[in-house]
Amino acid sequence: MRFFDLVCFQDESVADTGVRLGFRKVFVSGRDVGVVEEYKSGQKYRQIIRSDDIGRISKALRQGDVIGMMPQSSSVSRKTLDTIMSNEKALFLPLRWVTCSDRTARIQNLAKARTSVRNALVARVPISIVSMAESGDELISSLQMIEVAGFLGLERERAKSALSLLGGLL
Amino acid sequence: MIARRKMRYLMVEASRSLAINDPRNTDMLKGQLLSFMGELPYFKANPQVASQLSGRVFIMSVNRGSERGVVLALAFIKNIGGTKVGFYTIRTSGTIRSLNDAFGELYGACANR
Repeated sequence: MRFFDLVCFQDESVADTGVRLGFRKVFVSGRDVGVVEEYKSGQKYRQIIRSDDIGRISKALRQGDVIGMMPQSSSVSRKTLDTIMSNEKALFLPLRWVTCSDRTARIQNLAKARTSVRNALVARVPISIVSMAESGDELISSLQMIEVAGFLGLERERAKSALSLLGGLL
Repeated sequence: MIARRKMRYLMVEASRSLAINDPRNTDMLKGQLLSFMGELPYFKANPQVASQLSGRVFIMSVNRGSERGVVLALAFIKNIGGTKVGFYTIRTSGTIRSLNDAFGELYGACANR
């Protein structure tokens, strides 16, 4: 199975490091895919909507070049998941939420992430796990991402599928 | 007859150069692992630094059956002694020799960095 990741920083060593970390390719936000709060037409790459506003999300998910949605700060509601499902898009979960928070925020973020995963599994929404690392220090390997995904409630095979989904969408 | 310990070895890469053989760094890393894993899982895993392969890559030994907990905990450690650093678990194996071979393949000419 081939694994993929999405990061928020550009560095010439990201490609080599990604191979060592077990990824087939590491996509970069802003270069390979746009992670935006509001849909922008005419972009050269696919987009992921990062928002908690259900109206904005619904409008954006109807567009053909939007591949999914990423929560900004709160857990994902059933209504949002139904919208994702009806538009045949994916839910992107940033692991940076849980691995790079300080102690106080981590507990809340873990709870939100676990709730999002549980709701997404019930709604049968495709889940993609990405790191959204903002520097080399925040990267984690594919082995670690599978373990973190398991910690959030995904079975091992599902976690591997979640890591390989991004490659199929891009 | 003394029961033989069954170990699992992890090849770990740090995001920046780290003298993991320095007892201070080792103690800080173990302290962080203890903090994330909890006492009982930590003592069951008994993670130890086995060897340093380069400035950034080292091998940890873990009791077999507990390696997944250590891999998970390493994902959460983001600083050592106030210095920002990330730890990537590259590979796991039952022998140090296979990790040494994998190190040569993965890092090749950069092996001595």
